Amino acid sequence: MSIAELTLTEPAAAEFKAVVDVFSAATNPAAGYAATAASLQLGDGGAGGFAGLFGGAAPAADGGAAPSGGDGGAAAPSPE
Amino acid sequence: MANPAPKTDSGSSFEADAARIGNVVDHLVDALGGEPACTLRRAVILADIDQYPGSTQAAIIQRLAADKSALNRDIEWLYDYGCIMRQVGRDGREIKLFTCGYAKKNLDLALAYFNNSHKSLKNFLIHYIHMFGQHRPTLRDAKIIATIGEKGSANRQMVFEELYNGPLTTDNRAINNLIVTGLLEKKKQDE
Repeated sequence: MSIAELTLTEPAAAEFKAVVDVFSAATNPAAGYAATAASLQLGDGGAGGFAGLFGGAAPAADGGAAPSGGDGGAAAPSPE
Repeated sequence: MANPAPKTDSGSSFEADAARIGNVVDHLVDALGGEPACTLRRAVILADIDQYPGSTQAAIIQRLAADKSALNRDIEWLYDYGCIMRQVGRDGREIKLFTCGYAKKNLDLALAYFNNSHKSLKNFLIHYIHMFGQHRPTLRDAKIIATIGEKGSANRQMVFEELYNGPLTTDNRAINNLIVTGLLEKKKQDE
């Protein structure tokens, strides 16, 4: 008998790996920053995290949750 | 008040992080009225209101570059479910928004994974949302992906066990949608 196993497709697995990297960097910034700095860049630019996500045109003015590693993004969470 | 330490999982770093992502999604489901059908986008909005207590809707629109009518629906939903409260400003026109009750408590549990950084939580959620492309992911979708991502492969029963006691048909449909959108695939395996 055979049963169907579900797996992530190859592109989805790569994307999920990037999500895990972001998570890892955000939750353990010291260990994760160097390894994941590249993965923090989204294709649509620094503040592009919000672009298109909420139906509006402009990206977040303050870079809010911008995924760019350059502004600290997830890699270096600022104290609140 | 300090948040309790997040749950930790054994195993490799990748698997452990995938499991912890599943835990974060669980807390977000609890924060959003126990509704796994909620979108990740709504979780971002809740986190944003929590980050900026007393925000007006206009301020959220500006920060998130959000469409006004879509955001309005999300805000109404959050209010109806008791996730946020409204307070009339001094001028009598402005409505200020605050997270409250179980939503705040469970959001704090999710934030504990991110060293209480709203920015990091929102950043992570946005990356997760982008993974789904045109599909608007729900918390259920996020949990399915995290579960299969953690295990490498899983049959439907294993996935259902990780989900939220909703109707099986709903969970099944969610998996089928993720197959159609090209995120999941079925592989036959001999037993």
